[in-house]
Amino acid sequence: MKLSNIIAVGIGGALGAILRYFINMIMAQISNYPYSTLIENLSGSFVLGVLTALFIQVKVKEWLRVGFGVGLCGGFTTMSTFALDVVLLLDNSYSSMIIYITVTVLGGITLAAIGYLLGMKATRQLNRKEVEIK
Amino acid sequence: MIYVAIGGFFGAILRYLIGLLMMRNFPTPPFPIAMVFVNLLGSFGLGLILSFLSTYNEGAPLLLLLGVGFFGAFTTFSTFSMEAFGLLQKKMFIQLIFYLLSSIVGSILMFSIGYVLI
Repeated sequence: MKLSNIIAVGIGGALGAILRYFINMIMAQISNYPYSTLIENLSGSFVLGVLTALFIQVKVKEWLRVGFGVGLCGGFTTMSTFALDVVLLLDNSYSSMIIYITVTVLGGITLAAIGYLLGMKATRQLNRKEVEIK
Repeated sequence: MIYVAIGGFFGAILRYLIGLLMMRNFPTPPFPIAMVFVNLLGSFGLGLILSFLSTYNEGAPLLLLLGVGFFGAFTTFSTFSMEAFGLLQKKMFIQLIFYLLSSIVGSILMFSIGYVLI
């Protein structure tokens, strides 16, 4: 349990939370529907997918890995606000709640998968080029 | 904004530490249990806090610090997506269904329980 890792997670989490807050404020002016949480959770899942692939292929320092993955992506996306949104949508209509849950969950997993596969492909090509240069 | 940042700082660190601690004590769980635990706990916490704040008419700073910052960053969705994809890749379908249901339905239930408790 290294202090540098813990601090990196904290800073990443703070930045992720601020970014999430900004998106919330912008989207609140556009619509009552919880698009903000949806955008955050979907894009964050995609980015974590890319990063996970990247960190498998490219060796980086532990604090960078956890700072971006656990801190930034983890802090940017949120399950608790998702739960709040679902309960608020229930007041609206049953179908809008079901749609919101389905899009978030299936979309999040699909985007994480696409991000991961794209990241794998990109870093593999990068590695191949390095080998060619060598 | 500073409230959100401070909350996010500590929320993410607490999640990280719980993850490390659970990995040390349960090195090979049947499915990724640490984030389920964190998400259920955090959703419950957000429910409690929102209900508390609306009951006692507390202002925006506490909502930003605890709601948006702390519980927002303590719970996570991206790791959930990644772990679900991991189970899918390993074709662990029963674990996947259990993981999805406990995370999603569990978080919504825990939020509601937290909210009606106060």
